[in-house]
Amino acid sequence: MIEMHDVHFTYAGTIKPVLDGIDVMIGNNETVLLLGASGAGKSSLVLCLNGLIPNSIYGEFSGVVRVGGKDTSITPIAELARQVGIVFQDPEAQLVTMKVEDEVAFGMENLCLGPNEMERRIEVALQQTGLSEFRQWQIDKLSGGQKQRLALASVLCMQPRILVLDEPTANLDPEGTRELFAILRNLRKSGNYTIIMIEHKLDDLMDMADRVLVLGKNGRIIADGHPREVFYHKYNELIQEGVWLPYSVTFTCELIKRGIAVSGTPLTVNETVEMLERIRLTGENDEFALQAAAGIASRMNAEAVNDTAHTFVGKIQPSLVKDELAIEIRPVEFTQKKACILRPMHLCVPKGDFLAIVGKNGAGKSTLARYMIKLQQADKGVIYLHGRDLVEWPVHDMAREVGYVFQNPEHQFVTNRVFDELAFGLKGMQLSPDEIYSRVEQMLDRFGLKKYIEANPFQLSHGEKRRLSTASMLITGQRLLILDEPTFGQDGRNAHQLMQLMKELQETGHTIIIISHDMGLIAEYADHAAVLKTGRLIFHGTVQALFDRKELLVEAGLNLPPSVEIERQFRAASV
Amino acid sequence: MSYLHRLNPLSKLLAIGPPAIFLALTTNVWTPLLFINLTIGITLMLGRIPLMRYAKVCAPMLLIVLGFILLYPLLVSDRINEGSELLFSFGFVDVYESGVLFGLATGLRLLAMLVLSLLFTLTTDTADLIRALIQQWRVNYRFGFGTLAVLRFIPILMQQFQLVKMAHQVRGYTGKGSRRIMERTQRYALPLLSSSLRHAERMAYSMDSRAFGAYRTRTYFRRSSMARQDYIFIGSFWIGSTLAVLILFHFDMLGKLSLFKTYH
Repeated sequence: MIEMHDVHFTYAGTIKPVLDGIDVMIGNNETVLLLGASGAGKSSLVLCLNGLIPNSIYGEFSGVVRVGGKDTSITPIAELARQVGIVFQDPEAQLVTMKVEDEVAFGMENLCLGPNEMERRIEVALQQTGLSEFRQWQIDKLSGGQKQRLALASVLCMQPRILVLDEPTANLDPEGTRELFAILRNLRKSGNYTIIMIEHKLDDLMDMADRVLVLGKNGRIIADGHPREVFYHKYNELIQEGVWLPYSVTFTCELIKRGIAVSGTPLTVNETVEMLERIRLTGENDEFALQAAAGIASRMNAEAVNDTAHTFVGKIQPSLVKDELAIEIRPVEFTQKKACILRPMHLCVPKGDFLAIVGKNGAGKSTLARYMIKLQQADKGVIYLHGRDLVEWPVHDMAREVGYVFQNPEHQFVTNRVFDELAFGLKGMQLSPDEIYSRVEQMLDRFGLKKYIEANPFQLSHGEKRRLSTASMLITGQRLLILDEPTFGQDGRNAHQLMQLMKELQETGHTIIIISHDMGLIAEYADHAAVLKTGRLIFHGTVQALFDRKELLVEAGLNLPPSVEIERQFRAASV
Repeated sequence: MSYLHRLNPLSKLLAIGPPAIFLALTTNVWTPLLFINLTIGITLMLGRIPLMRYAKVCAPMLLIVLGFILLYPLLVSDRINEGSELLFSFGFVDVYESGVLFGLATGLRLLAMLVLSLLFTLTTDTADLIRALIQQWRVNYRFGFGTLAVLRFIPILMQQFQLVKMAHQVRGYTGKGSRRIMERTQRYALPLLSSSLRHAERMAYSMDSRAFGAYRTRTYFRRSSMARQDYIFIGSFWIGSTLAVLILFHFDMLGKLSLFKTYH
């Protein structure tokens, strides 16, 4: 179906080739997962499949790509569009029209199909993606998950044989992700499609992936084969590369590393539980296995951050009263002045806590966080920061006390140089230039950014930008740090590094609040969770307690992370 | 969907065109006043626009009209005021009756044209207009869809602007002071530009990979065409307007017609 022979590609204006000798064959009806660290060129690779590279994206291209036997560099784009359909990451940036049915029709109109044929195909495509009832809707009324399903419908109607999905769930909450995966599962079952997916939420995909391709940072395929084979044979290599791995795989490999005799190579939660069962039956101490399981993730991640780990310089004076509250929200209306999605809630965040705010998209998570740092003004007597009413805090003092890391780090840059970016916060603190320099240097060192001290913040990679914006939020010794989707768009290594760093900060007395959909990371790092549903606080307690409340998780559209699921299922089985 | 919403966007444009041009020529108060009342009536009834919403859209324009009415009596040339009754005099400011009427006429004329265009804008979906322009008036479809993409992007850009503002605020960056204005503009522009470019690129990929621009022409799922009701609407709107003008003429309330009002 797809053949790539010795494909090289270098973007115009850059020197390093992003694809450097790709040789790969993909057969009919295969479901392939394409993995790789961020910036490894996964998106570029899939753009080769429908001829956008080399036909409309400038750069130096060599090699041959054949799709269905046709050379993409000389086949008209209309013909390739009938063969290959791509769903991209950002739901906002791939929908063209204003109405659902128009969007589905868009591609077919370009292919000059007749109205009767279009009508027939629109109906089928909307049905396949579960959007039939939304046919007459305006697109901006749809949720993120529905928009991605619409994007899928709008390529399905062109009847491609190959479906490519480039991080389709990156912007979605767990519920939206689940729904999209369910649709893909059905499409795969129909046997009509070759599916190529770039995705890092691997645990839910293991049952449907026939094959894994790993693209290395060197621009070549560094692993290719059945998931079982790739993940277990190349485990260490993949960790080094920074690729996300299914939890079951890390779990099992770490067990093996600790000398526990493991039979089998589990990929899913069920397989892992079965494996643990077998270990128990062979007489080895099950408590030991479980404990090992609990300890593993953190150990592994500590390893991952070894290269940047230093003791933190901005240690906070221990003179503070331990049980003082960092944030207190009293249960009265947030504001009388304008409509607010948030309902009155009682939420106390003690100093030194690691709190995760979770819930569906649109539940009010970001809004809540913005009220906490006065980006949205609450009335007097609602929110208290370190025991003082937020209304009384001057903006400048706030900036020194609270850090807020936005989803898009670019938004926060206020200078043209990495050094200035951090020095900016220290302005007006009456520090000598030497003092400023040494503080900035230490901070950059800690975040692994020292070599970029003279660079422009916009030139950094996505992960580096994120680290820089986080560093800028710590430079004046902020004691409370709020992060909005800190791991969005990051590869496995960067995400774990960042979270590990937050954990270290917490240990030195900082209070950390994160907004996230990644229940796995929350289970690993957070102490408490606050669950929001349409502006209501429906749960606040320890993360473990949240995982005990099955019906609550369902109500809030959340899911159990595989780590917890394995533990629970194993416990239940051994009783 | 109301009657006006169902009409072809182009027929609404055609209907309001000639009356709008005619209104530009009028000089007195009665003609625009009559057209304003008639058009608002038609828009509210046939377009099923809630009165409050209509008032909200109109309010800023009413302020401008009020400004004209207050300012013009002070600004008009003596030639207009010649032979007219002096209403009042305050120091060296003399306000004549014809000056007030002139201001009133200018303000109302503007309002009348706005009200006419509201009949179109309040009842027309932009996507429908673009589709009609492409299909019936042979506007290049690449250009049409480009416009649509830009329109879709505007709210996203506004949202991002708000985010950048917040992000700066969190950092304690205010950029206050008039000398800083250049710097502040640059600080806002950079992230917005960077994400706009990214958005445009992604949009282009998405459209290209769905064969946009593959052929010289494309087909349309929803046809845009003139139906009988469109011709009836255009015809009756024109006839109605002509009747209104004739009635005004009959009662000698039409006033003089002139394109360049300063010379009358």
